[in-house]
Amino acid sequence: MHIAVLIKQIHSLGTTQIRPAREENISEFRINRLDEHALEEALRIKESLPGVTLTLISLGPDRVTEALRRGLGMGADNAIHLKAEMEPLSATDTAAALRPVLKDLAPDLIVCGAMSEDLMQGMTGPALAAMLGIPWVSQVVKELLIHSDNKTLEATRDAGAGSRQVIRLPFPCLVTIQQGFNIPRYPNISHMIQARTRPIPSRDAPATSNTTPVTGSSPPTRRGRGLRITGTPEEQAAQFVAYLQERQVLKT
Amino acid sequence: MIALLIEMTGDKVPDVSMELMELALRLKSGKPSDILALVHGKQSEKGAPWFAEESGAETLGLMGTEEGHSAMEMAEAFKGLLKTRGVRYLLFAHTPRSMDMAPALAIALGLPLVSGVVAFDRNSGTFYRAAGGGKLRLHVEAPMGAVVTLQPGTLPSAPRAVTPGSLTLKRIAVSKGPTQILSTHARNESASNLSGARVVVSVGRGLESRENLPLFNHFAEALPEAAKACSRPLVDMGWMPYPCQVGITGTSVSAELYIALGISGSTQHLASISQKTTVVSVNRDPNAAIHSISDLIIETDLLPFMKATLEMLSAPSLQNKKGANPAG
Ligand SMILES: Cc1cc2nc3c(=O)[nH]c(=O)nc-3n(C[C@H](O)[C@H](O)[C@H](O)COP(=O)(O)OP(=O)(O)OC[C@H]3O[C@@H](n4cnc5c(N)ncnc54)[C@H](O)[C@@H]3O)c2cc1C
Repeated sequence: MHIAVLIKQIHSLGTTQIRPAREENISEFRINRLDEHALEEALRIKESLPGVTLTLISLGPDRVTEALRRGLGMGADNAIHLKAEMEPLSATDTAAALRPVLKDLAPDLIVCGAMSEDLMQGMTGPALAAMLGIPWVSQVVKELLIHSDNKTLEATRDAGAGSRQVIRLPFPCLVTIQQGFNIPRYPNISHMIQARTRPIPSRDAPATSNTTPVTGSSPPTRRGRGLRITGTPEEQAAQFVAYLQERQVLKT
Repeated sequence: MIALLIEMTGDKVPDVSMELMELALRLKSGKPSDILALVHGKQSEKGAPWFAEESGAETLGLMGTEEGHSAMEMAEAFKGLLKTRGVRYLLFAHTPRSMDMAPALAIALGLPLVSGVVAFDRNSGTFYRAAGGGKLRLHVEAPMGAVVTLQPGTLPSAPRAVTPGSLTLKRIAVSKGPTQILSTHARNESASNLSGARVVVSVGRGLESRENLPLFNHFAEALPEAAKACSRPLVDMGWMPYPCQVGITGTSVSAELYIALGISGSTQHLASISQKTTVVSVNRDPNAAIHSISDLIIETDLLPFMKATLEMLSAPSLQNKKGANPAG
């Protein structure tokens, strides 16, 4: 069985880059948390079944090879860097860029995080599955159950309003993973040393169009007064208590 | 043509439906003509007449789309209808359900996708979408049409229409795809007491470790009439029970006061805090997204702050002033 894991590298502060950057400090970037959970689940499957190969794919500038190396250090078998000046800003654009490489690889299973922490669309996985014409299940909250025929899997998903759904779907398919049921492992040192020197195959992302060009950016609109309280914890606590008294949460 | 895709929640038309109508009106310079609402899901035959009255838009109540269909199957069923009506803008609420359907329909209709929209400027035709984990808005234009998902609670509701829209109830065939839903079950946990609370004290990953939970509990219990809540990761990690979860996959709060301790303010969390609620945010990140909706921002390390507050509250001068706290 071949599993492809899609990982996005994000800025540690969760900021979104809207133009290709000239210079970047690699140490400020990390793997999107939900993608690490997705990778952990793929690694669990690899360890529990014979004959599973795991390929990581990341789309973005050269710095994303660092994320791929970390994934290799965690135990993935292969990595592919899909080169682009920057990460696309729309889920369908990202999916369009990823589609050709996944068409070529034709994995049995594609796993990725349920959303990226910066763009919060939650749509890249479903968009890619729809483009590839394969079934998908999103927001999986429990270990996947691979049937012994290696042709179907069962997934438990968050179906909203506190309900859970168990879904069966045939391979090839795509699964997006929620946090909560596994803890991503730390890279293994000897894997990491190997990954450091290992060349990471790359190919250029297809020249897909930027369907919704960004014309600008601005901070979120403010609601509430936004009064800022600084000082020592004691000073802040005193102001907080006074505020609660003013609002009659605490009696004066 | 602009279409709104409205899914019933339980047997109710969700509040966001009239916010979607407002966005449609802004896209159409205020005219309800050429706006088509598709109401689907459980009891859509009851929801659709209400929406036609309320919005004035042509409304199609689609039956036969109740639970039991995957998003892929639903998208397939809607595709033909939307194509024949020449839909250029398709509007959804930005909910987990539409995260599945919106991209599939964008691809099927050949339209770009603009997700997580929080505002729209009709003069320039600019959509503002949330990015940077809620710390930034991206401005995008989609003059040739788009599939748009709107963040609930960010636009006002459209005014009630003077003339009701036309109504058609229709059965729609959803064909079986390759996925099979084996079961759907609710989590068997007690109901949430958050929706009725006057004060909500909510905690997030800023708590850092499970060992700090007792401190949070003391803190929350020291505030009279306060209900305890949290962000999703704390429920996922098993630190707090699900009924405490605030957000699009948890409970909505409309308390007078919401005290957010170590919560970043992702849009999935903020979407469920009422516009009318006053927010106090305690966070060490001066730029946390939660601060944008705060009345009071306390920029600090959470643990020393909670300890200092508890000490103040236990000082004799405040002890007999705490009001009637049922938790003591
Ligand atoms: C489909 C989907 C549905 C979701 N539904 C929900 C939902 O219903 N509800 C929900 O809450 N989330 C939901 N999420 C998750 C959401 O995207 C965020 O991941 C989550 O809200 C973040 O929780 P948080 O703010 O506690 O954690 P983080 O984002 O990690 O933020 C922690 C905050 O604590 C601060 N902090 C850290 N340490 C300290 C300290 N010592 N002192 C003070 N401050 C500190 C940090 O500055 C940061 O701002 C959903 C996600 C998906 C994909």
